Amino acid sequence: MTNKELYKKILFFVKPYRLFFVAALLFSVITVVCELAVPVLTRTAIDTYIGKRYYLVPSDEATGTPVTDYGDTVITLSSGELLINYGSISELSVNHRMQLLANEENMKLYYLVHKSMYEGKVTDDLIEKDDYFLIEFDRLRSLPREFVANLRANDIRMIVIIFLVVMGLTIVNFIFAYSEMIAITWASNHVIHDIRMKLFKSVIDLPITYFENHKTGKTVTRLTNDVENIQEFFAAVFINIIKDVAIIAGIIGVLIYIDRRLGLVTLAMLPLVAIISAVFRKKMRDSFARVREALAVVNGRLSETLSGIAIIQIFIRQKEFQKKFVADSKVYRKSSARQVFINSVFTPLISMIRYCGMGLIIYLGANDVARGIISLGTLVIFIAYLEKFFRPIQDIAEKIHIVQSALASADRIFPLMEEEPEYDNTTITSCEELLQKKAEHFVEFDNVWFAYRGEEWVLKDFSFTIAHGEVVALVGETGCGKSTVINLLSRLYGIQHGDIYINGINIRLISKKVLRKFIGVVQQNVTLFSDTVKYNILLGADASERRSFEDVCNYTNCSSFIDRLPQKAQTVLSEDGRSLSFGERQLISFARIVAYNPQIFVLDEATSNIDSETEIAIQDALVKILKEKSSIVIAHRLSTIRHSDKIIVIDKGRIIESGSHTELIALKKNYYRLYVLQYKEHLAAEDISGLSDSTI
Amino acid sequence: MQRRLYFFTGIASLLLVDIFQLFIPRVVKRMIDDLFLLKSDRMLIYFSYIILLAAGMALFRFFWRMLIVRTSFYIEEQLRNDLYKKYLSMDQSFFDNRSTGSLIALATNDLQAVRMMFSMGVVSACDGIFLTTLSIVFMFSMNPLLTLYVLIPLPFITLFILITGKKIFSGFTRVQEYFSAATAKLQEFVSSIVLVKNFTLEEEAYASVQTASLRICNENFALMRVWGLLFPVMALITGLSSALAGIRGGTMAVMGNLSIGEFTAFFSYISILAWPMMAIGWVMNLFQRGRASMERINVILDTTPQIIDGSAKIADQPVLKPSFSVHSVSFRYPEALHPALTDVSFDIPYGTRVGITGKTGCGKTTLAQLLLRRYDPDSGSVTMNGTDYRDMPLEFLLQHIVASPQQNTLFAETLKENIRFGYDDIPEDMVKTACSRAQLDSTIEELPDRLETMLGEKGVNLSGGQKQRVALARIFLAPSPLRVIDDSLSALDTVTENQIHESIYTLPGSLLLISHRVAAISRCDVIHVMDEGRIVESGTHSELIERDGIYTDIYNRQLVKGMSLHDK
Repeated sequence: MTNKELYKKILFFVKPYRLFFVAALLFSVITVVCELAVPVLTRTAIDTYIGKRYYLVPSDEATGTPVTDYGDTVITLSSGELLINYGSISELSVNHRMQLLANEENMKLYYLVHKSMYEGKVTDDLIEKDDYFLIEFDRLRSLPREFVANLRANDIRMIVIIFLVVMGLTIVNFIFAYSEMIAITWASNHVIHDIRMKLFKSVIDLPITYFENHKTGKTVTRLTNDVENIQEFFAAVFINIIKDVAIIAGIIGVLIYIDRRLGLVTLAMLPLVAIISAVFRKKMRDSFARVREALAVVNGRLSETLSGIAIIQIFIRQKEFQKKFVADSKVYRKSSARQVFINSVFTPLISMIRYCGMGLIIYLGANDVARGIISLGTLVIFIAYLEKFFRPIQDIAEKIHIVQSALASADRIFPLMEEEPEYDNTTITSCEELLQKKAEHFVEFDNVWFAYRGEEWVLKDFSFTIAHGEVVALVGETGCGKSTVINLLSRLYGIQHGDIYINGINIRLISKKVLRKFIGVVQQNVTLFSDTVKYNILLGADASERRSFEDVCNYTNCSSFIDRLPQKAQTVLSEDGRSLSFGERQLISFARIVAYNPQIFVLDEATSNIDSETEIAIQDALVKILKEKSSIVIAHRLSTIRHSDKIIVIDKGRIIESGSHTELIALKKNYYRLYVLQYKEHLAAEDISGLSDSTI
Repeated sequence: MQRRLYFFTGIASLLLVDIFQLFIPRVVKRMIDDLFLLKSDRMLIYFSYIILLAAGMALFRFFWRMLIVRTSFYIEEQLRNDLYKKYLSMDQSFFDNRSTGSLIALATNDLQAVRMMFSMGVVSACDGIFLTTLSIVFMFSMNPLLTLYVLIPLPFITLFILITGKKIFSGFTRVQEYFSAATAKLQEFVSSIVLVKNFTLEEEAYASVQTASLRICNENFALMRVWGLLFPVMALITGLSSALAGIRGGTMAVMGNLSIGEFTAFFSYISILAWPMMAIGWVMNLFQRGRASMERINVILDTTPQIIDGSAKIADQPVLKPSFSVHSVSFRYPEALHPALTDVSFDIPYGTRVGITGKTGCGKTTLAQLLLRRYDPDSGSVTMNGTDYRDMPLEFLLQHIVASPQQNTLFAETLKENIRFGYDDIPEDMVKTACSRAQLDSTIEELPDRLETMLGEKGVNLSGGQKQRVALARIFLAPSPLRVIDDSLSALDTVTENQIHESIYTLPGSLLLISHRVAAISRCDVIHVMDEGRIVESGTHSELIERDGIYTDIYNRQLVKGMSLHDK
């Protein structure tokens, strides 16, 4: 998929929460404005109030120069003298400056206060000019505190107001920064939840063939790590990158507006820092990957050692293992040291660029201040902005990687979401419909051909029937197709030719859910969930449809071992069932199918690894359960299936013999040979031809 | 010693970086003051100061990182190797009492916590102390009164971190936990997809994953509600501090008690101070965790094994034809209520094949463990050629015995190395013979590099039955005079099992064969039947059958295993 398509798909999940994202964006704009406003206010405090100074231009130099439209910068006195505000001197045109301030070096700076604002004593220090009192700025310091306080009462008031506003902005900033965080977290968490659930739904509905061609680990990674990557994209990048860009653009914009030259110098640093960051980021990523790899080797060796400690000690191999571990450990330390080196170069390099850039801009700015091009307060803005300028640049360089890995993950996730789900037909949607009338055969395979791949036929022209209440056994070598028959019956795979009928209805017409509720399979490998014993047996089943838990336990003789567990039926099992013996696991598997209560029981090598005591317990259970039910039994040990109504012998995907045990023994062909091979030791003493005698 | 030197040089470099960093606002301050007084002749000098300071900072930053952080990796390496060596030297009861997971965590998480303490912990602590002290000194030298004003709000950052730190940490742990739980759940459902489909569990699975996913969602949100406050709070408090500096400092500047340069320098120092205020909380956390981890590691490093080497010098060379005896041995596992073995005695004269059978939990495996001196008996003794195990060095004893424990472990080495396992001087054709006897030929044929194929972690993974056979080949190959084979054939089919039995019975030397299946041990020279920790019957197969006791009972039950379905 192209990036554009991927963004589109991601945005589809964002849509329900778009209000949150828009709000977050709005909040973040507010915080950026608040943050950038503070230095501007500081400038006002410095230029207009703290450093309030005026040049007094004598009337002879001022004559003939119309200086009307400079606002507060220039005050024209009735005497023809001009007062020029030093703080905004840069607003004068070049011509005016040359004329009015030609003698700047020798001119004095005066503090100025409007008469109406001054309530103190009028002393000789004050020079009266029109509505103003003037006083030499440098003399202020030597005057009594009280006098100065009176004189500058307005300045102090304004400074307090300005910084109270700063305080207000700080609080507003805090509120919106936090709100933004909350909005983003809430929305991104839910977007991720939605993506994960949609993906899981798609995965679980995929046909079984998908899982055969894709490793479990990979599929799980899609659902976890890949989804996480997208989460990180939302949490760290989605809005923040906009914010970072806004800060950078805002700073550069304001700087260029204030002083084009300084602004452009600042702008020039941007690509420099960005490129260096990007280059190092890549180096760091590579070296980090190596560190992780080395660590995985070390930890792998460690866990291998711990799980094999007995064999290592019995074979006296401690020294060799120690040597290997030390070598692995060294590789890890070296790769880490390499990473430290890269970091040790990168971080100082960036900080150096940062301070050198800052130094350069301050230097250029200082010259501008000296030449009256910018005010001192403006220089302070530059310094403040430069301190905020670098973090977003580095952030962006860092986040580009997150965007890339999120896109890569999205490219793995979305195609999986769009995989074709298991085909389902809904003509028959309930078990009742399936049982309405009684067909001649309960299960019928009619000339079935099946191959997992291409023309490699696993079943060839396969036909057999199972009557109502009949037990049918499938016998044959490993790989002859026994298990395939079961998988086809429950439509885990579709067949290429032929038909399969259940109670006379083609299984293609039966919804898979109904079909699979109809057929219960006990597999050789017991899959346990890390949940309670009870959950593992009932599998979250709707109890009304199925047997009660107590009944199930009694039927299957599970009660005796469950009662011995620390928390009885509420005992939580580990996934690999370590806390249970193999026989107990098999019992759970049987209990499961009993609780499930299907119409057709399928036992696939269900007792092959069970000790004799458990097997007898299971055998008791089955006699009770299998009454009136049809069943298919697959077993390696022939003694297990001897009493089946019908035994079907399969060889390379074809049925070669079928009949009861007695019939097949009498036939003295394949089944007979298998039987003799397995039991020759025990039969040795007896007449082998007497096998047909079912008393063995 | 050299490490320590590196470490302290690193800290000195860090101090220099901090001093340089704090001098920059001072230079800027001078510049601004000059400019305010309309003096501009020294600007170039100030500029060169800044560049010099920047270069010095960069240089010493490089130094401290290289010196401190790299040293911390050396410390980690040393500790890890020490731990590993400790693990290798510990006895079975040590491993019985601790889960593999906790031992791995010690060498991963705990070790990392220790390293973090030595690197980022130390660095942040020193950095914080230097920066705080120095900037307060610098601020004080400019204006003591204003410094006090500015410092009022800043400790609230630390307070906030201390209050929320634990909550944040436990929140992170919980999110991580929930995430692992959800991953485990997903893994479970995907790996048991056949069961899910067969039992139509799609909806239950969906609901269960949804619960897990929502839990992450909610916990994450709860965490972010606190964690998300961190940076806004820091900005708020520094902002308030700056505003205070503005109000008080601005007034002072107007009154002529503070220069404009000083006024602006205060803002710079406040933003520098914010970081150490935040770091205090973090550092305390790092140190707490680091110390707790260090303690846990030290406890293990100080543990000594309970199995102690004896000093009796039996012989310089391994004994050629040793006999082993178990004399009225009793043994109880530390946590167990009932003894695992009670008064068990039997001999393994050189060249005999001894079979042990009995129900699960009857003590068969414990007996093998004692023969291998995985444990020492509570009473009685195990001897080789009449000498008590406890009187000889363990390594000497183990030169005479090989065993295949029930749980087979293969290592991430080549198949050949896995089979030779230490006996590197055994020629390759003998390895091949051992493989043939363990019925591994067809397995090896299928492997990409035959005997040289890498197994485990990154190589090929073998099935349970294949693993069992590799472990058997290992035993067949090892030239030890006594072989202990404990139920090693459970995952094999009947035909292969029969063939391997042929191989086992033709091995030279003595043999102790343990199995709950009578067929596996029926050809032994002597068979001991165990029940509840005691030997209850002994004899050859035919003797035991004649006796018509427990053995016969087991035999019959295992023979007639037919399930009578629908017996009509």
